[in-house]
Amino acid sequence: MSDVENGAPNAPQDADTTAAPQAEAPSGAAAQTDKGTPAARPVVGRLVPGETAGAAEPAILLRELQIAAVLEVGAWPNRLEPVANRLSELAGTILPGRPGRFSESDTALVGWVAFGRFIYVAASSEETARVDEALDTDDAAVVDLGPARRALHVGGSEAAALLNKAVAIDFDPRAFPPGSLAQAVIHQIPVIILRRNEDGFDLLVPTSLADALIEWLTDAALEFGYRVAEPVAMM
Amino acid sequence: MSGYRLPRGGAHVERDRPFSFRFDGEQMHGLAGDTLASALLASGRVLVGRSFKYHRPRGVMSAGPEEANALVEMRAGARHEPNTRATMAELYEGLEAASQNRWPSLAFDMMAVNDRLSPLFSAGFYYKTFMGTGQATWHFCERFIRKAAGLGRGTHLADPDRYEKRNAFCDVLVVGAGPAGLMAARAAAASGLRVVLADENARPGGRLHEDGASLDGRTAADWIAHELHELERHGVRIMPRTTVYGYFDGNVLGAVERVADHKPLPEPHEPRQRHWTIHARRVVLATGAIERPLVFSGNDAPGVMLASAGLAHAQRHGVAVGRSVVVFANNDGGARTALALDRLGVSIKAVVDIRREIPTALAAELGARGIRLETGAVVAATRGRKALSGVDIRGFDPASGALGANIMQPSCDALLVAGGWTPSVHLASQAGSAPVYDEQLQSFVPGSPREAWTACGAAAGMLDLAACLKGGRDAGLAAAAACGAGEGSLPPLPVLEGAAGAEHPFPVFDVPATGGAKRFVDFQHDVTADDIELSNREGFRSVEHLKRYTTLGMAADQGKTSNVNAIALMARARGLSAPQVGTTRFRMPYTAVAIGALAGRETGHHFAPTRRTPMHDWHLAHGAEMMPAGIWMRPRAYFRDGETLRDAYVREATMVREGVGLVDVSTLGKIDVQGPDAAEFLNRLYANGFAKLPVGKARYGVMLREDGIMFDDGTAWRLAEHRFLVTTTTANAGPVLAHMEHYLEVVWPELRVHVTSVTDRFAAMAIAGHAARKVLQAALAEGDVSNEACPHMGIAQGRIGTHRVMIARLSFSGELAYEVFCDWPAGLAVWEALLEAGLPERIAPYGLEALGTLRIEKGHITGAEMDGRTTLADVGLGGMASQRKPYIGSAMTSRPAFVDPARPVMVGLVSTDGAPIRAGSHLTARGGGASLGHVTAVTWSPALKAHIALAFLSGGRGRHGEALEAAFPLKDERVAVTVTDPCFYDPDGSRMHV
Repeated sequence: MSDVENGAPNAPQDADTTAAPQAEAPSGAAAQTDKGTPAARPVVGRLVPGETAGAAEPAILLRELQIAAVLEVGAWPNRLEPVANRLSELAGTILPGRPGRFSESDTALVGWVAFGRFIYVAASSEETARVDEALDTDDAAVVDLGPARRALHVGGSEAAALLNKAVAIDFDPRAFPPGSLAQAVIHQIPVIILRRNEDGFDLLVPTSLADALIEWLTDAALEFGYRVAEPVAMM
Repeated sequence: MSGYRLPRGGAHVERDRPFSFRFDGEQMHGLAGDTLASALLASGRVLVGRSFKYHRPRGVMSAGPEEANALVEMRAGARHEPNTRATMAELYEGLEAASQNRWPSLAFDMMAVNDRLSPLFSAGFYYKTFMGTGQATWHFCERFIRKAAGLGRGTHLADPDRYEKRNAFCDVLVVGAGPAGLMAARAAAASGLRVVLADENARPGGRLHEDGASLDGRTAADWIAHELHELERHGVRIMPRTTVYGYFDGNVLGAVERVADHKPLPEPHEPRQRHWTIHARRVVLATGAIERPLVFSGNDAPGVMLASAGLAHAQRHGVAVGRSVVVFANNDGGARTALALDRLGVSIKAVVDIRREIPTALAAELGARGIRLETGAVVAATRGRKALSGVDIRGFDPASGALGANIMQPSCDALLVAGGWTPSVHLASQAGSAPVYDEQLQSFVPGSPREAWTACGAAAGMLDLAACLKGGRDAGLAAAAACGAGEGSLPPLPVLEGAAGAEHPFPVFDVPATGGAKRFVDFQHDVTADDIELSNREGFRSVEHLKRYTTLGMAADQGKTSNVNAIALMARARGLSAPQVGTTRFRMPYTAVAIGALAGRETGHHFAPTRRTPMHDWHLAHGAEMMPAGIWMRPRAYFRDGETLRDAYVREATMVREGVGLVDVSTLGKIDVQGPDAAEFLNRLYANGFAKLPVGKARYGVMLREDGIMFDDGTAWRLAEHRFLVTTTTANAGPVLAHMEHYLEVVWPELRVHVTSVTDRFAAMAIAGHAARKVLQAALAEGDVSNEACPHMGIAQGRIGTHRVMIARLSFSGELAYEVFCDWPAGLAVWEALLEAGLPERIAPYGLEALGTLRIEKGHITGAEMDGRTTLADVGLGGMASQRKPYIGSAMTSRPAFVDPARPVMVGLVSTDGAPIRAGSHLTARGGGASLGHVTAVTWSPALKAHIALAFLSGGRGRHGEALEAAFPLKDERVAVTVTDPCFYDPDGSRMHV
């Protein structure tokens, strides 16, 4: 089906008249096999602990982080303060004073992503129900994003340089100190970047694109060299 | 033979590291630290290229980025790169270069006939010759013209090297590491700021080597080394081989670092080039100045070179550009260059200065060294075509501009020309007002900044070294102060000895033509002084018209050596001053940028990420051919041994109609809509009603755009009083979310509703066919999907294995069907459990082709029908729209065009002659005629055993049963069709209501 053109969906090339729905292929692109064409070859996108690649003396450390609970909390504009206070109690920490920051206890991390919008990451999967029950519909919306996110750690001396290949954020510790959080796009993939210490960054990634991000990270890290460490729990 | 390696000297070259290289196949030798140009000159090579239009022989004219003549093709095979400036290409062992734009050889170029025919090829030649001759003539001639013009040839092979992109952040970016830039970086770094110092050359220092001064008792080379050491100590990031090519809004600058261009091959994993996006709080522009040539007959002969270049090749590379050198100048730079070269051992035959007098000290020193000085004189012509053999020196009256008597006609093999200095105002012009004319410089200096920059050094018109150093330091301090930094411990300005003063030109740039020879202004585009006069005569007098009419300054060098002379010539022709004529603005890039550097790694497979469902690998392992749906990959069909695509999807679609099948729909957009006003919000968003949807039920809904056109369709599941799960088409997941957010943020901020994409939260699959219920119930460890517990559009909760599932009874295929949602990571386990439970019913997965066939048979719409032009009524869903509430788009639904009875509406088509219908075909009466509509989707229907299609047909609802033709003129195809209802199969829906 090489001649399926924009505006002419499902155009048959031969007697194999077919009907791939156009809504499912918005580009109107010709169908490509996952095997044959380079544009669609399978993505590797796996982190193999112990693997090193690229330049000698790896300056990048990559590892998968296991996350138990990830929630998005959307507070109604007039309920911002009670919700912030409630989240602080739940997480056992003091919520940071402005968007773009997060704080964490041993068991939970709560970040202020945007006006009225918080992210809550916890060590235990039971936290999902606990947070949901703790916040009333009249205060906030609570969305369980646990299965929708994967977490990756990017560390090493060149971690900022690696992320700066895609992200136009100044990662100098003076400009983006530990406790900073940013939403960014890497390789067209929306991510939340958390700096928990000066040595590296934790990324929250949409599950369906995590392999693609890993594929990008491992390619971009080649010039620095990278080592893959064993997965650990994020919290 | 002309140029040669001097026995001593050369601040950049390492005499104990010889390199061999090839030029046009000939083996040559150079030294580490040479440029290709200096190595060619050292090897005695004069002729290195042919000009763009007239194919005139050309040699090296400069020692820097302004090179307009010595453009070569570098490297072989897939790494082949045309139009490389030999003056910027660093020599490496085994370098391969070739001259370009010549045939059959550089020395004997057939196309040089253009030079003899040049009266035909003056400015505007193409337009004058071909306008009015008709398209056919132009198209015929164009092939030959394109072949004759242009410079190097590119390659069609894929570039095997890596290119990278990165962002950098700093307080102060200093562009240019000459004396001014070094001082600026030093001053800014003293207060502890983050400073980046970028320079396009391999080695910092700028023209300091050529100045001849000592600084604090050190030689130029020693002082530069000392300064670099200090800068490194202060944490300054020094970026050699990095050209800052563009100055963008928000103090963001683009730069290209030539990481490995100076090596035979990049190191493993090393990019060839790296694009830098530099975000700076303040910028210091210390971009230097470029020397101007003078305009006289034969001024393009190989061997004619800028005086600064002649000196640079000697100082930096230890290369004498000729064995017998004449210098021609309109300022002190001529005599100074001659003296400096003489001290380096280069044989200077004469200095010709347009001025009647030159400073007595210079004249005396020339005399003392036995160098002949001719003042009030000009080089009126050159001799020698492929290599300079001599010049004609004549008297000159600057008042009248007339040539005087012959003075002498010495032989020589190099002519060095000094016409004054042109500050490099490119970046300043990109991010500031138009450059401003400076009478002393007879050139333009930076205008006022529009971004946070300060210009200093020669770029700001400071031509003498002391002013450069002080200006640089002041600019660095000002930048630091603007960043809020206090003054650090500043080093004092170096004590200078023997520094040259400013070289301000006498305002004469051109010499009258002699003997009809061409006087070039723009060497790279072959624009002559006569072309400029012609442009004036023909009315193209504004600099912007002049530029476009003659193409002056429009070559890859952006007129670095030609713009100012051209403006001076136009000013004289019009009887105006240069500032009255004005200057053109500079666009980025300052020098050419490889597309590879702009693309970085975003090529081929890396162009976009691949988005995969949790069942992706299973699909591949079970014969699926995947197809892209946006960035998603989805199974098109699952092939069994020996099956064609048609075999596979017909089998799959038949399986769904006759038994049961399973399809991965994880790619559907899913949005969590939550809050006290969620129902009200959806009621406003969808054309149909949602306020009264009971908890535990799903509803099909269509959203319209504000103009009443269909936007997207999907379902909304009411999971709780204040919580909905909305599904969208795969393609519109992002746009629908953005649409919702826009309305919540901007239009209805009073609604307490929160929307979040949960596409990646739920894996989803649809099980369809009359055995769907039986299979699903068998798979459920917990949950009831009986007709009573889960009626059509009902929602059920359950468990498959250990995994919670959420089930909605929805049908896209027209069969009894359920959508099963589970946690994303559980997708594969649930998928496999359903397949296992369906084994007794011979369940199998089906792909997009079968899905498409099934929906066409049912007349269900997708993006092919919701193409941004159609309304609910057009697709037969007009009855869905609520009459009792307003909704987005409702105000526009009864526009006259939308209720026009002749409006195309959706119909079905059946091929009556058994031929396939082509999507995109137009509908006409049998035998042809005007288009009555178009075909949106086609399939061979296994249920109907016929080729069928969905189409939009003018007044279509009243035309069922009519015989028409589906015409596809591009392929000369006509298929006889009959118009039908768009729902071909099971029109009363009895199959899904069981």
